[in-house]
Amino acid sequence: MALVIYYVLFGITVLFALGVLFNRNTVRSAICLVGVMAALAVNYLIMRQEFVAFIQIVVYTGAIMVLFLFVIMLLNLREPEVMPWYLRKARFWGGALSLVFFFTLALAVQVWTVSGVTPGAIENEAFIKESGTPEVILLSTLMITKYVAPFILTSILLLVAVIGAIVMAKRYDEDGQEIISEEEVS
Amino acid sequence: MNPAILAIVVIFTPLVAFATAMLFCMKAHRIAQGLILGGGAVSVVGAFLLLLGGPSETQSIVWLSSGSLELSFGFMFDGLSLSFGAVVALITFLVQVYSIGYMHHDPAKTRYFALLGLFGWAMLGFVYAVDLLQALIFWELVGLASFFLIGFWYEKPSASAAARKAFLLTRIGDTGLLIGILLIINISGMAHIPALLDAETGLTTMVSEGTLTLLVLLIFMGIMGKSAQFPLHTWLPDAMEGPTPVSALLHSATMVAAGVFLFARLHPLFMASETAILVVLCIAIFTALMSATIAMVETDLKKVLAYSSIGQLAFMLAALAAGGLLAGILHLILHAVFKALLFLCAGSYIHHFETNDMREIGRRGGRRMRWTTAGLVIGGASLAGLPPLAGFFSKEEVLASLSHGGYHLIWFLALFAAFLTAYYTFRMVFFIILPDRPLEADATVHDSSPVILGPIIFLTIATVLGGLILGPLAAILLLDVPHHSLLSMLPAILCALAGVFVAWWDFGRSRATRRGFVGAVPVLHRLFSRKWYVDDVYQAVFARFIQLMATVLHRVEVDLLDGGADRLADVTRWTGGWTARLQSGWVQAYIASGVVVVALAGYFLGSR
Amino acid sequence: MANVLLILPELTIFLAAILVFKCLILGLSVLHVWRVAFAGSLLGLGACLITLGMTGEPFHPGIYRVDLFSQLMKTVIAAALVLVLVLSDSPPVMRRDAWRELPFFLLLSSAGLMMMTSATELITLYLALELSAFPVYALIVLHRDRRMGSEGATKYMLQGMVASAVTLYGMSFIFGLSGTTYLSEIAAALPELGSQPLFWVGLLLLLAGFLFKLALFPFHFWAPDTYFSSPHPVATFIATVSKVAAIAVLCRMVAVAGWNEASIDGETLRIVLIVLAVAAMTLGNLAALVQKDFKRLLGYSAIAHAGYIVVALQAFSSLGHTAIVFYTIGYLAMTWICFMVACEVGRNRDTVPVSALAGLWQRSPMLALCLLIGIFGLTGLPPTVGFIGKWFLFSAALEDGQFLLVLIAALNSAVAVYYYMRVLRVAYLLEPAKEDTGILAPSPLVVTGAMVACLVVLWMGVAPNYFWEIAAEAIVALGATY
Repeated sequence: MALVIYYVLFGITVLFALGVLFNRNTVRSAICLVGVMAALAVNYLIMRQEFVAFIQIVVYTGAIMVLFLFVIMLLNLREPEVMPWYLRKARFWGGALSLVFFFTLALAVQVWTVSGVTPGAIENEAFIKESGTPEVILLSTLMITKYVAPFILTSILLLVAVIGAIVMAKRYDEDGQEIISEEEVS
Repeated sequence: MNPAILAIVVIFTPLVAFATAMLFCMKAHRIAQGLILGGGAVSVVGAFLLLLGGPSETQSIVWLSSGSLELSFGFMFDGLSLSFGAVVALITFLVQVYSIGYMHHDPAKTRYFALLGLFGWAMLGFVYAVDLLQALIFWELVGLASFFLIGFWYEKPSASAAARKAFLLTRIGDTGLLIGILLIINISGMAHIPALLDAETGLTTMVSEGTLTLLVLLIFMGIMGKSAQFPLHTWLPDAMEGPTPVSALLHSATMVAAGVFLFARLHPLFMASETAILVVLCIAIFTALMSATIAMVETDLKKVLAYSSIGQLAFMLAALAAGGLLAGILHLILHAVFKALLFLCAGSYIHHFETNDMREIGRRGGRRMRWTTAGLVIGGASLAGLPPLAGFFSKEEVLASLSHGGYHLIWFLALFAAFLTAYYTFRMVFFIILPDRPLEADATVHDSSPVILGPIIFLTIATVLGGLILGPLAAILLLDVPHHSLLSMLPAILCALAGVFVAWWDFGRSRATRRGFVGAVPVLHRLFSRKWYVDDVYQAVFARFIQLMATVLHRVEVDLLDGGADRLADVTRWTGGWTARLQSGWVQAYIASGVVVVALAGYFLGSR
Repeated sequence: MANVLLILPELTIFLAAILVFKCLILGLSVLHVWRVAFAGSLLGLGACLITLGMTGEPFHPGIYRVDLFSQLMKTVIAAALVLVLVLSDSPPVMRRDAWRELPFFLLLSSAGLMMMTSATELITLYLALELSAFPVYALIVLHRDRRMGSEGATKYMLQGMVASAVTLYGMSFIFGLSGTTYLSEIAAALPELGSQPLFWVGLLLLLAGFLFKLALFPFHFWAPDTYFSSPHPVATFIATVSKVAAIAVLCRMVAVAGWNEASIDGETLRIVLIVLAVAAMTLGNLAALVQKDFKRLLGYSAIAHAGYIVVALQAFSSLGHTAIVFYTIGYLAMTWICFMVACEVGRNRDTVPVSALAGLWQRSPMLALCLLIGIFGLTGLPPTVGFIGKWFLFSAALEDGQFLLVLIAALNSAVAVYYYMRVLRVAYLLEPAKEDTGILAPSPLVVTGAMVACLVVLWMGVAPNYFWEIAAEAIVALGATY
C-alpha cells in the first residue's frame, strides 16, 4: 500500500517539477514550485517525519516562495524579444538530455527492481517507534550532538551568502561611490 | 675535520666560483679570474687534506626513496677517490694558472674561466660520487662542460662542429651507460656503489654471469665514448679545436679519465665476467695499435698528442681488464701528469708561433724556448716509457699486469704499441729540436711568460719524480706493491729504446729522410694518414643514412606533420570559434556535457 | 579546551574574517583592512603549524577529524592564502571600491577549504564545499570590467551549482544505501556496500563536486573561462588554494573506498577515473597549444595537471596518495609563481595576454627568473619539483601496472613542453611592446613571497626526501583512520 502512495506522490512531484521547467510564465513556474514543495512535505509525512514536513510547508511553501514571487514581480520579467539561435531549441534539448540522464542512471541502478523504501527509512521509523520520544526532540538532539558541525557550518554559510549577495548587489558610480537610490533616502 | 664537509668544500667551491663569475662578473674579467683560481686553490688544498687524512668511511645521505628504491647522495673516501681527486684538483688548478697567460687576450675570458670552474666541479663530483645515479649526473655534466669548452670559440665552424661531434659520440656511449645503470637499479634495487661491489651481497651474487656481462658491457659503452676507444674515438682528435689548456685538461685528468676511472671504480664487476674482460682487452689493444699508427704520420702537434692519449687510455683499460688495478690507476694518474705537461708545452709553442704544425715550429726555432722544450722532451720521454721517468714505471706495471694475467698475445701487441709510441713521440721531439731546414735565427723567439712556464716546470718535476708515488698509492689502495726483476723489465725498456733509435734514424740524424719507415709502404701510409678511414666510413654511412632520413622525414614533415598540424590548427581554430560562441553564455553546453559524461560513467559503473 | 585547540586554524581564520568584516563596517581604508587580513592569515598559518602534530576529533566523534593529513593540508592552504594575500595588497583589477572586500572573502573561503580537509561526514563536507565556493562566486563579480566579471561569475556559479547538486545527489545515494552520513560507518559497511553498483555510482557522483574544483574532465570547462575573467588575485586563489582542498577530499574519499582491498567494483571506478584522467590531460594540453591569453593557458594547464594527479589517484594505493600530497605542495608553489608574474605584469590590464610578457627579462629580471622556475616546474624539468613530483605520480601508477596510462601521461607532458616554452620564448627573446616598456618593480613583500616559493620549488626538486617523508607520514595518518 505504502508503495502505491509513494509512486503516486513521486508522480505528482515530478509533474510539478516539469511544470516549473516548462512554464513560460515565471509566476506560474513559481506556483508549480510551491506544488513541488508541498508534495515533498506529504512525502515526509508518510515517512513519519512530521516536524520536517511542517517546516517544509512553513519555510519553503510559505516564506521562500512568497519572496520568490515578490522578486519576480519586482523584476518585471518579460519574454526576451529575440531568442539567440542556440536557446530556441534549448528547452527541447534540455528535456531530452535530462531524460537521457535519468534513464541511463535508472538503467544503471536497475531502479525497476529496487523497492521504494530505503533501509535508512525503515531503520529510522523503527527507531522513532522504539524510543517514543517526540520527533522534534530527537531531531534537535541530533542537531546539537551528532550533527553539530554541519549545524554550525550552515549558520556560517548563510552569513556568507547574505554578505556575498549584498556585495554583489551594491551599485557604484564611476568613482566607486556607493549609489543610494532616492527612494532609500526619502 | 669531517671528510664529508671537506669534500663538500672541495667539490662545490668551483661551482660557487662558476656561478658567481657567470652571474656577477661578466664584465670584470680580473675578478672572475681571481674567483675561479681561488676556488681551484681551495679545491686543491681540500683534496690534498682529504688525501692526507687517508681512506675513511663512505658518507652518504638518502636523497630520495620511493617504494623499494633508495637513491643516496654522498662521497666515497677510498684510495681511488682520494688519490685521483687530488690529481684532478691539482691539474685543474695548474691549467687555470696556465690559462691566465694563454688566454690573456681573449675577450671572453670570464666565460672561459667560469667554464673551467664548472668543469672542475663536475669532475670532482664524479670522482667522489657514491651512488651510480649521482655519478651519472656528474658524468653528464663533465660531458656538458667539455662541450662548452671544446666549442669555446664557437664562431669558428670547425670548433662548434667538433664540440657537437664530441657531445654526440659520447652521448652514443652514454645511452648504453644509462641503460646499464637503469638495469642495475632495476635488478638490484640499489645504486649505492660500495653495496653493489660487495663481494657477498653485491650485484655479482644477484645475477647470472650472462646478465652481468650484458650489464658491464653496457657500462663499457659509456666508457668507450668517454675514454675515446674504437669505434667511438674520433671525437677526441677533433676536440683539439678548443683552446690548448682545455685540451690539456680534457686529455689528462678530466673527461677522458672519467671513463677509465669508472672502470676502476666498478672493477670487481668487470672482473666477474670473462667475456667482458676479453672484449675490453681486444678493443683496447686494437685502439692502442690503431691510434699509434695514426700518430706516426700526423704532423699536427696537438693531434699527435691526442692520438697518444687514445693509445694510453687503451693501455690503462687493458691493464685494468687484465686485473692490474694498481697498474691501471697508476698509469691513469701518471699519464694525467705527463700528458698535461705535454699539452701545456704544446700550448706554449702554439701560443708563440700560432701554428699547430710541428715541422714549422721546429724550423722557426721552437727549441729556443728552452724551458718549454725541456718540458716537452721530458714529457715525451715519459710517454715513450724511458726510465727513470714517471711513464716508465706505470707502463712497466701495465705490461707486467698483462703478462701476469696470462694474456701473452695481448702483452706482445702492447709491447709493439709501446714501441710505436716511443717512435712517434720522438718523431715529434726530433721534428722540434732537430729541424731539417732551420730558418734564419729569429731573435724574437723567446720563452713564454712565467704564468705559462710555472705549471710546465711544476709538471716537469712531477714527471721526473712521478715514479715515487707507486709505494704510497699501493698503500692507500690497500694493494701490494709488485716487485719486478730487472729481466722482466728488459723487453719494455728495449722496445722504448728501439723506438727512440728508429725515430732518430728516420727523423733525427742529419741525413734522415724524414719520411719515416711507414712512408716506404704507401698503402699503409695512406691508411694511417686517413686515420684508418673511420671518419670516412662514418661520413659515408651516416651521411647517406642521414640524407635518406632527411628525405623521409621531409616527406613526413610536409605531408603528415605539417599538413596534420595545419589540419589540427584548423580544427582548433574551428573549436576556438565555437568556444568564442560559448563565451556569449552557452554555459548550458558545459553543464550538459558534464552531465552526459557522468551519466555514462554512472551507467558503466552500475550496469557492469 | 583541547577541542578548541584542535580547530584553532579554522577558528583563527574565521575570527580574522569577522574582524575584517568589522573593519569594513567601520569604513577603514583599504590598506588597513588588508593589514588586518594579512595578520590574520599569518596567525592562521601559525595556528596550523602549532596543531601540525595533533590528532583528535573536536566535535561529535566521526564528524570532523584532525590528524596529520588534514593539518598538513591546512598548513598548505594557509600558506597559499598568505601568498595570495601578498598579491592583493595593491589595487588589483577590480572595481575600485570592491577590493576592500577581497580579503574578507578570501579568508572565508579559506576557512571553508580548511574544513573540507577535515570533514569526515557527508553533510559537513557538503557545507564546507559550499562555504568555500560562495565567497569565490562573489569575488569573481568584482572584476573591474563589470560585464566580464558578471559573465565569468555566472558561468562559474552555474557550473559550480550543478556540480554540487550532483555531489548532493551522490550523497543521497550513499545515505540511502548505508543509512549514515559518517564516513567511518560507511567504511565499516563497505564490504556489503561494495557489492552494490549503486554505491559506486553514488561515490562517482559525490566525487563530481570535487573533481569540479580540481577542474577534471568533464567538469573542466570553467577553468580557462574563470581564470580569464576573474580578477588576477582571485584567479590565483582559485588556481592554488581551492585545488589543495579538493585534492585532500579526493584522497580521503578514495582512502575510504578502499586502498588495498580494491574490490572488483573499485576496479570499475578506477577505469572511469583513468578515462577521465586521459581525457583531461589530452584535452588540457592540446587546447593550451593555441591559447593566446596567459591566464587562460594556465587554466588549460591546470586541467592537464588535474589529469596527472588522477593518474596517481587511480592507483588506490598509499604510494599514489603520498605522491599526490607531495606533488600538490609543489604544484601550488609553481602555479603561484606563474600567477604572481601574471598579477605583476597585469597590474594595469584587465587580461594578461602572453604577448604582455614580452621582454620581461628587461623589465624585471627577477620576475623573469621566477617565471622561468615556475614554468620549468610546470613543464616538469629537473631540478624543479615538477620533475620529481611527476616522477612520483607516474611511478605510483607504474607500480600498479598501468603502463599505458603512464605512457599517455608522459606523451602529454612532452606536448606540454611546447606551449610552456612558448611562454618563456616570449618572456626572454622578444622585445617588449611599445606601450609597456616600463620597469616592473614588485613590492618587497611580493619579492619575499616569490623567493620562498622558488626556494620550495627547487628544494623539493633537489632534495625531495624531507617533504616526501612528511607526505608519507600524513598518508599513514590518513590510512590509519579507516
